[in-house]
Amino acid sequence: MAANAESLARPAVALCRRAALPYAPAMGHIPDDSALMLRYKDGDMAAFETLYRRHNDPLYRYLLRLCRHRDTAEDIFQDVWSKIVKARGSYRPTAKFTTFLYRVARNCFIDHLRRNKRHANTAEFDAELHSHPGEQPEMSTERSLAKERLSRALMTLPEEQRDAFLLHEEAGLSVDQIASVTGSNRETAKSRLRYAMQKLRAAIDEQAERL
Amino acid sequence: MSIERKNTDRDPLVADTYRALANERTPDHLNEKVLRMAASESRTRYSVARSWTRPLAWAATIGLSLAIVLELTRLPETEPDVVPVMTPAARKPASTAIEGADGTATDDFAPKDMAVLREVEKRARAQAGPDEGPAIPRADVDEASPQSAPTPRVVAEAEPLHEDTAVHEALASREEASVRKAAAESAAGQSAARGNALVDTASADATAAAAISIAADEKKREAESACPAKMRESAETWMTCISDLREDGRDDLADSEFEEFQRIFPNFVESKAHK
Repeated sequence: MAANAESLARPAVALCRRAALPYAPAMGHIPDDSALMLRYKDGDMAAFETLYRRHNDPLYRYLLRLCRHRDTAEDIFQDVWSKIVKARGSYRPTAKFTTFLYRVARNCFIDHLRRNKRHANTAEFDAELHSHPGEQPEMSTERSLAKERLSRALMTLPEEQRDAFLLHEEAGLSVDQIASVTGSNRETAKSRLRYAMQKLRAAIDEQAERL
Repeated sequence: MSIERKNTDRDPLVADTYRALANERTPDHLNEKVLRMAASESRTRYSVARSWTRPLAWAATIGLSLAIVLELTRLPETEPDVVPVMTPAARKPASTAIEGADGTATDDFAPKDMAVLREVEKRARAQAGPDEGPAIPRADVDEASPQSAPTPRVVAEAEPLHEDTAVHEALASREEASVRKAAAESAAGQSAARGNALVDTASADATAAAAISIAADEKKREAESACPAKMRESAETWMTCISDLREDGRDDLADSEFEEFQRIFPNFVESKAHK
């Protein structure tokens, strides 16, 4: 009975989540991602541009936080889109395009890790990324503190938990889709996401208590 | 319960803070690179390639299909060329000979047989001529002493046959035909009477084969040594041919030609020169 209620409630929750994430890629719009990809497969470059504009920023942020290195993220970003372009001939809209895109991105990242074993936990982009020119000093201080804590907490997360969190927040993927992208089962993906959320929440709460 | 658990997966505070934190955008140069790469890939690999690959594939498919169909239609035409020896037309002489021995229907082969038999008879008479006396007209021989004329079979056995390939082939084809017939009949479980008829058939077949071989031999000899038909058209040319034969030392042949000449031209006065 509980399972039935959960399955009925899932689409509604997913819709709410998407509505609450304006930076997430627009899902369910017409034309949807698969249709755009199929149009690009037939040579429609405008369709690809629409598709690209829909997903480029979330994917870039996902890679940036996964790699923690701007140049590497840009290389992988290009590599991912190159693979998407080359795979258009064999593309079949059997799964959601976002799942397909992030699975490719994750595989590219893993390949990069294998090629460059010296990939260290060097978070070189923190100071540069977190500066917001034009903000009030107080606001900037508060925001930068919160961001810094969250960013540090995010960087200290285990890779699987960080991956799950980024896929959830940036790509707007559900637990099932995260499990599909990461190649794990649903419960594992769910627990990874929950642990990530708890740790990040704890980091923010710790900051608030101090203030 | 489940909705509560779902909500624990999404923490608004964490999400908002993260949203404030993560506001990076893809650099323009990266966007340009990717879009340019996608455009070039789209132009080179698909739009250009697809314009000729599909028609080419169709043309290849149609061409191959036509080739297969043509090949299949040619096959039945080539088969008869390969098996002409086994056609009924090729076996006809053998079968007619066999049927003739049975006494069923032999009209197409009988006249030839008769002509050959007459020729054999004539040759036998000519060979036996020196021992039995002067040559007598054929009609007289037939009437006076019918036993003196040897049967074709005897002549065929007595006279050594030339090793001619044509003769061998004729004999082989006839023997093969008779053997096939015998095999077919024995397989079918024919009666003993039918077996006797088969024996008669075989002997008649052998006689006919021998006669044919003699005729072929005669033709060959004629072609080689005797006066050709053109020379026999007039008495003078025929005599010239006979005299040439004598000059060549082929007296036997010249004599036989002369006999034949006398029969055809009984009133011709032989000149001394020819003598």
